[in-house]
Amino acid sequence: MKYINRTGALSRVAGRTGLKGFDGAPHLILFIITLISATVLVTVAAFLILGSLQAFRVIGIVEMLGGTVWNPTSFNNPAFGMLPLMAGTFLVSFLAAVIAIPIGLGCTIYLAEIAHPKVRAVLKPAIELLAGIPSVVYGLFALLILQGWVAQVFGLQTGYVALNGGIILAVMMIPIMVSLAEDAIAAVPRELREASYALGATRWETMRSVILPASMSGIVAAIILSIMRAVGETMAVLMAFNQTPLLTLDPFSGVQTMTATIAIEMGEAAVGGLHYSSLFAVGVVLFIITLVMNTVANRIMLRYSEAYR
Amino acid sequence: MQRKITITIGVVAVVIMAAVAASMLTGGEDKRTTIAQAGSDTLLELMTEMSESFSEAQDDVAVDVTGGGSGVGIKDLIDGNIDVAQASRQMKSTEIAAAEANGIEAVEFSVAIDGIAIVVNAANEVDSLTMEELRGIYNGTITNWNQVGGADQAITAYGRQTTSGTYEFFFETVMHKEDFSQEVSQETGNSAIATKVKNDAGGIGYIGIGYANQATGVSIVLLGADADSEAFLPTDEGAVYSGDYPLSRHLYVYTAGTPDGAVKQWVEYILSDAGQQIVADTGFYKLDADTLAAMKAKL
Repeated sequence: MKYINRTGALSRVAGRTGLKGFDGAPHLILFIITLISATVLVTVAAFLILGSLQAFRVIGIVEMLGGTVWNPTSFNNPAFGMLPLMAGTFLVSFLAAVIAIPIGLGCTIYLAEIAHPKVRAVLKPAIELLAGIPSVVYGLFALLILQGWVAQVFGLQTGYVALNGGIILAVMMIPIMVSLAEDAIAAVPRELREASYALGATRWETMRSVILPASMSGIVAAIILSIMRAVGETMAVLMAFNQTPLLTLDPFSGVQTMTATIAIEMGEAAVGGLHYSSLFAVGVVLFIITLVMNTVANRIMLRYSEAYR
Repeated sequence: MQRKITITIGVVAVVIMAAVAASMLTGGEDKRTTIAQAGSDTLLELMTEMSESFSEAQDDVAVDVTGGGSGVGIKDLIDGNIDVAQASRQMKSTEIAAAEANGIEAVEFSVAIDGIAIVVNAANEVDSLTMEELRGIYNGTITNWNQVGGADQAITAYGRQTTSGTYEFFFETVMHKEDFSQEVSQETGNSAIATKVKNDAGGIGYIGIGYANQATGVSIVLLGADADSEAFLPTDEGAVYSGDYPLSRHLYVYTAGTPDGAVKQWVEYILSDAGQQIVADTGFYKLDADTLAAMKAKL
């Protein structure tokens, strides 16, 4: 559940500080520890926003968000349009989601309802283990092996295309999705299943008409959180395809994501310059996207956890 | 009531801690008694090794080397923030004027010579290009290898990220500061370019000579200034030294005024046999005897 707690932590802890029977030193220490983590969030947000002010002021928010060319280091006509980067992030995450959602949900249903408990006892930890592999390892796999397969299957000259990144991101998304969605299905009360069976429904009918609707909010939250993983991923996308800031939704083209742009260009951009500031602006937009998705997922999760209590 | 106070204190504490943390992240110039040097990232590895070796060789002076890019280093030198700037390009006339306005006379020392290799996939039959063709490939006017005497195959151009020193050099020398095609992939390192060119039959990339020599599955192409002139390889030491190889360049350090004391010791060390051996060890070319003598004469 660690993926869910990020923004929820602040409000939840604020509510808990008044908890009765938890006074004295432990209370204070835990309170301070929590303050520190909240501080980190506020600091990061403040840092990003302060850094981006110059870019938004000089270039203008409309030009930054709506501009179709990202070429900040051009000598003759530097351009700071974020649209190609947003399109890149969208394309790669979309491809990843399209691949990951059917596979992830199939896995989840199998593990939750069909697999023998002994099989599940082996498979679920194995899938969850995939979530622990560092993204650079996935990136390396995409850079060296997967691209060759993609090129061969689709008859491309080079496999360093957005689809290559989509596939590797899907592999990274699946364990998160399966783990969270399986928890959601497992949380459906037994009474519901038993009632369904008692009415003569088959296993499949129970799954389709009772369990899936009952756990839908948890499943949707699992999907959103795993997509967030794809949106925020940097290292793997950096390695999986050609970093070309083209405004395209062609899965067989190179693209450049927002995360990769920051990683590529921040290292040597002149500190205090417009380019530097515009990278902070990219960070702000990314931060907002993540925040919105996280909040939506949190809301959905909350509704679902209240449904049976 | 007590709960309200706790929350208020909490909010205030968060804001204060955030402010302190933010100011620590953004501000703070730290002045040391050691030599402060900053600038080119191309030279960063070389200068870091040089500094370590220099520290081992004597006890009096330490050199604190950081990157940031040639432009950043030169700006810091102009502002008097650092003692030495390392640069993979020469100072522009505007920068020299700005330094003079601040009462700083920047003195230039060549410290190493670098050759940029143009690599293509090993299966590519094109073995020689001109600067004009190279420019065409990178600005998007040449998109197929059959336009430069190769097979009918689409070209994928790989370059460095926009803020790399090597990018800057390529941008100025090959592109004459005109825009790259947006289709040029930005790679974060020499080895990323080598790997992708190796795996892409139509790939081409530019990488430092040290990396090109180690890379497998790619071949280095001959490069000529134009169609009439002879083409050379960056591994041809003579052509690099004479400047006949079009993508060779000097790498520099700039000092504020004619060096004396610790800075003089440091520059002397860079130009010494031990220093030049580090240049060769990190994949660059040593200075030729004439240049070396001219540099020592500046001290």
